[in-house]
Amino acid sequence: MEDSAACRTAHAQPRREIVFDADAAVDSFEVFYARELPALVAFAAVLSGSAAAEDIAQEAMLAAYRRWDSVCQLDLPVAWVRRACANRAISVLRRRAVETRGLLRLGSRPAATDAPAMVNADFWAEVRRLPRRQKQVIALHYIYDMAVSEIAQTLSCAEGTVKVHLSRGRATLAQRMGARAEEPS
Amino acid sequence: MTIDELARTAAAEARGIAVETVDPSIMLAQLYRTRRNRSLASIVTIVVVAVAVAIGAFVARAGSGSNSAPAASQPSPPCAHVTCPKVHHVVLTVPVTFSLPNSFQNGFQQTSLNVVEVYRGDIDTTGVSVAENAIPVKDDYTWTRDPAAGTTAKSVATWLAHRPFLTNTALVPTHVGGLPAWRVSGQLKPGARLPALKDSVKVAPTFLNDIGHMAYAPNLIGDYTLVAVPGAGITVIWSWSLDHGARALAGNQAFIDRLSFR
Repeated sequence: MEDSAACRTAHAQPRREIVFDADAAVDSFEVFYARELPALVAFAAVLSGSAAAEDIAQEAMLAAYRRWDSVCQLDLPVAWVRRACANRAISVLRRRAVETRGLLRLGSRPAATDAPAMVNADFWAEVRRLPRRQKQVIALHYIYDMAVSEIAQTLSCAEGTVKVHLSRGRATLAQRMGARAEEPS
Repeated sequence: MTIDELARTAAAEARGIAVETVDPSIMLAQLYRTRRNRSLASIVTIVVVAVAVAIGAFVARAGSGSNSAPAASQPSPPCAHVTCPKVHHVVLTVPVTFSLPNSFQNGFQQTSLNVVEVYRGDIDTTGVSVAENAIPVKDDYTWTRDPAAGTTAKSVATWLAHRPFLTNTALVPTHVGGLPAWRVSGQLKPGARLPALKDSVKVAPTFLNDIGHMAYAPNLIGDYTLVAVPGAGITVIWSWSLDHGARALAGNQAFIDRLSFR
């Protein structure tokens, strides 16, 4: 009952008292949003390579907000929103490739001169060249420091599948980046 | 360095940048606003479709002849035998309403409060951008307003038709959504100077708005329809195509014909 009440609160009115406790039974949407958004933007940025990373993360959050009554009842609401974000980021990447070729978009934003440039942009560019599942697994593993079991739960696939994608992704990246491919201990 | 170490360094950097640049409180307020606007847009879309269906039903009834005896009619769902195009209502500075011809991809991309873009489904890299509050720019690298263009749709259209980098230009009066408009077509002169950069590509600049640039390039062709929309300044309807001939643009007109502002 308390879970449902907390969920309802999120849609009714912003809560005056916000408890920043990640282990609380159910977060209000506001608490969930504040806690998860920065990492979600980072996740969208590395997957899409796009200045629209904030928009992608925001769309995933908006989707969660629309059905928060049910999302907040899930075992891992955050897995739901990360999966939504991963799928949107890949869609943006694909759509940009086939649809606009970078030049046409009136909405393509001028290079943001005040945004800090990513020193390791080359690494993420290589990640984006990986097959879809490999890039999602690599991004989840490193951006969120997620274990194989958590990635499997997030992407709704078997742990063995995640291990294979992770291993193949690392091997390809090592080859392309000229790094050693040894697995972490 | 192992690939794992490299990946962890890169991830830490990406997270750090996001923490530095993202303000959840501002973005949460935006999220609520977006949700409100979309709900409103959905309601308006439903109302527009309902009105369209009602008018269609009324017209069909009137057309069936008032002299003949009323025949026993089979109730059929609206649009059972015809294609009912979905009407989109996009909340720009002044909202725009349109339906997409079959040759266009389903859906649209709203890139700011002033811009909505639609894309062709039958030809790659071809579409139409509707940009409200557009600014005509100088023929140089600065992307700054060219005062010579004037401030009316007609003066801006005339200015565009006389851009030094264009040839074979035509200026045609027309209407968009019931508003007087001017359509300018033309081709980039061979060897024309391309003084500006758009996404790192050399171009001849035409218009700017809050987040985007319009221009000509050797492989980027376009027609422009200029209309003064009350409340939205000079609005540019940019019909564009990359890597295709002028014939690709012809199919864009069907979209422009279905566009209205309100």
